[in-house]
Amino acid sequence: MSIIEVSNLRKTYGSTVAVADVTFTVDEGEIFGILGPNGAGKSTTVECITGCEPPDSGQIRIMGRDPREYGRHLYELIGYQLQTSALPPTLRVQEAVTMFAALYPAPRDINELIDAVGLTDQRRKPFGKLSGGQKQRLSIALALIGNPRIAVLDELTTGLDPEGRRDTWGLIREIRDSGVTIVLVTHFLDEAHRLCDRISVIDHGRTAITTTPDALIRAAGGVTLEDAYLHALDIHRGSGKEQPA
Amino acid sequence: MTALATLTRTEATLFTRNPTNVFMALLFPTVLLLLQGFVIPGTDAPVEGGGPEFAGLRVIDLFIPIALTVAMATVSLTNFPSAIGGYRENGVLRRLGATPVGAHRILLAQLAISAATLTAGAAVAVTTAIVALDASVPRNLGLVALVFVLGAATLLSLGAVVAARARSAQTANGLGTLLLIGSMFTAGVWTPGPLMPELFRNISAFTPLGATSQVLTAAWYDRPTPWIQLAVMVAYTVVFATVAARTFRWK
Repeated sequence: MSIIEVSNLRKTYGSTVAVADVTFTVDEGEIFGILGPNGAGKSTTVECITGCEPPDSGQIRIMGRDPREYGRHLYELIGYQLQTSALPPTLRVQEAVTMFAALYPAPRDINELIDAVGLTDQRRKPFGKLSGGQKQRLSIALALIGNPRIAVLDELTTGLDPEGRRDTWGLIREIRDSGVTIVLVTHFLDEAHRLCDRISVIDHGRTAITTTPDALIRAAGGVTLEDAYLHALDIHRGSGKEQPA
Repeated sequence: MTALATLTRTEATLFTRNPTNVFMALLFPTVLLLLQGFVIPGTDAPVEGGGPEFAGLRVIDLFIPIALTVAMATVSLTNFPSAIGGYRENGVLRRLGATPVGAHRILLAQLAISAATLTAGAAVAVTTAIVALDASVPRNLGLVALVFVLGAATLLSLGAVVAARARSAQTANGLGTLLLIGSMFTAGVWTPGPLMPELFRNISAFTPLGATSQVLTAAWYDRPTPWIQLAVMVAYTVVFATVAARTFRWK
């Protein structure tokens, strides 16, 4: 069953077209990757899904309904980890989680969640003194505190070292196994390959292809997802230039 | 606990961990008052040239209501807007926007903490004035409290205009400090209102801090209420609060 449906989404800022035509569906319980070059419209797409930005046109359905119909209740269904969001540097881990828990009607257990994201030893550490990986773990915890059905994670592992990325991947799999559907925005192909059940490649604000990572590789006759991804972009850009007869 | 109560408690915790904010809110007005009392010469002399309504007062007495005005202005124009500017800069406002209660409540929480800390700063200044400067308690405490609340509303609204637009904590702090220094002059920090040349006093009556300090001085020493300045305070509060609410930037 589709938990998210996006069809012909379009979003512009003045004369800049951030998203021209994006279409995909996300199935319940999967890890769905949104891939694409910088500036392709990935973040704008998830901002529309999470109700933070109103689309210009096209349709979005979250569990069968327009996100706007939910009003603020949407955020009880969707936990959103923003690409660029920090906390006050002196706010401690446990205080941050406690504060966010108070914003939801049925939050998860604070201590359990801190344990689950592996920050038990850092619970009294201020945000400003956390490592990059620890900050990301905290932001994942904050996206999950409200017990959402869907977690949208934007550029989660950017800036992390290989070990930090591997740990974060493990955490994301655990979250999926607990029944949360995950939408993962990334520009790392190895990350998409290891983690995602399906991916959608977005380029210049348009969906190039939506498929499984392995199918993308097979279709390109390539060896790595990187080859296949670049091949898919070439095909997409090539077809974009051709005028229909 | 409700969302607002938890956010307010968090804001209070963050305040105690910020030494600059603690100093500006709780100590700066008192330090200024003590400087005026003990370092600047001649402030324990009787007021001369202030007109009959201030006969029998010492110069330092005139500085006490001004210290309260400074307590309101310091928090309203520096701590308050820089906290909100910082939340905008760090994406805290956007992040809270993606929660069921939204980001409005953190503004209310910050406003509550600002109101509480500026009141505490004023209390420290008054206590110090009574203990160290031999000041007398105002006869009409209720009126003083009322004017204080109105003054705090006026200056927090002015601070809110800065908070509504500033892109970062630093921008907010810079702009707020500039406003604070400028308005400390009109408040009478260098020359108390009653001792200002008439032209300056009249101009100052139409500035937010000048009006506030003049009305507060009248209330404190039980003199006739300056209605024009009172109207000026109310007008500024309405205008600033409206502008802040209409132009507030969430991103």
